[in-house]
Amino acid sequence: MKKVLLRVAAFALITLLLTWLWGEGGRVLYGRFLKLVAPSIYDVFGFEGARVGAFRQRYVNFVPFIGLLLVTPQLSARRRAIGLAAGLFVLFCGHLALNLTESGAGGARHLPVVASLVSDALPFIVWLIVAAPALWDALPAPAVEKPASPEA
Amino acid sequence: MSRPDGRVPSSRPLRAWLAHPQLRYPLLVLLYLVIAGSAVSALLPRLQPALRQLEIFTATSVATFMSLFTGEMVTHGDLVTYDGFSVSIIIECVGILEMLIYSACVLAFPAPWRARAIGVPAGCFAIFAFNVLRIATLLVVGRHWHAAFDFFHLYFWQATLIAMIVGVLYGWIRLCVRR
Repeated sequence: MKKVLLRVAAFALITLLLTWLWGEGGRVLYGRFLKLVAPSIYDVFGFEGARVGAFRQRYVNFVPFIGLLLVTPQLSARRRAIGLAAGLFVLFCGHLALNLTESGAGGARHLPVVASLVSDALPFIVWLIVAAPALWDALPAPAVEKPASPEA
Repeated sequence: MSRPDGRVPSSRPLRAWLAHPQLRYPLLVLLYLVIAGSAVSALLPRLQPALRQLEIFTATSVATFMSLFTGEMVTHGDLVTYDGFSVSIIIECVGILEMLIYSACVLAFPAPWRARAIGVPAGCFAIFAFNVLRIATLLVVGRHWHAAFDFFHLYFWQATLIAMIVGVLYGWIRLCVRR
């Protein structure tokens, strides 16, 4: 129980720090970076004319991903490091896709529901994949199918 | 078809990958999210009155909860005011996206249907309660520490959103799925 509480506290601390860094300049830097690289990527994939418009608050979804990954126990340093890099890249791709839905929404005040849902869930889903070995070991055994019997 | 040693023939690598629970589960969650999101999108015009009521219900719930500690609460529609500091509860503040994500996670989990049937409503209720607590905390921060409101609004959104889902999901697995 004490270990769980320590992990919750570590998650809170990491996410607070990252959110603070994000507010203190990280968001501006990331916005500039996105504006710089996104148009050429959109052009490569045939979304010509697509541009990074209004800054989306949802770009901050990397914070819970990093927090979760850093406090997950029993992950090797290699898997954690590769997972962190790959996960952040997936989230970056998610931001590019999110920005495209903004263009498609015709300047609607709210994002489409599917895009919002996927964007909000993406850090969690990426974390599930990266931390899968540790998570599956930690979870109580669910009602899973029996091992396949040999077939002829 | 599998080999006697339990391994899947290499001629079907994609199927083998998809059959792996560690990958199948996140993909199923994603699939359910797309289905749920598409359904909500399609029904959005019809759902508007119900969602509006949900906004008002959330505002009333926050005011009722905070009234346990203070007499400075006022609500007007979706506007909830604590001692002169007001917030408007919009649809993204009622926790519906969190509930959809959580429900997708529960439905995709390899658990008995009875456990899933209990898990979805019970977890959604827990998320709603957490969300009321989140908004109440924001009201207190906004009233007493106004300069920090934007920071905590952002923090209590994405970071606690995921923490809330992970926490409630883990609680459901511990309580309902464990055998």
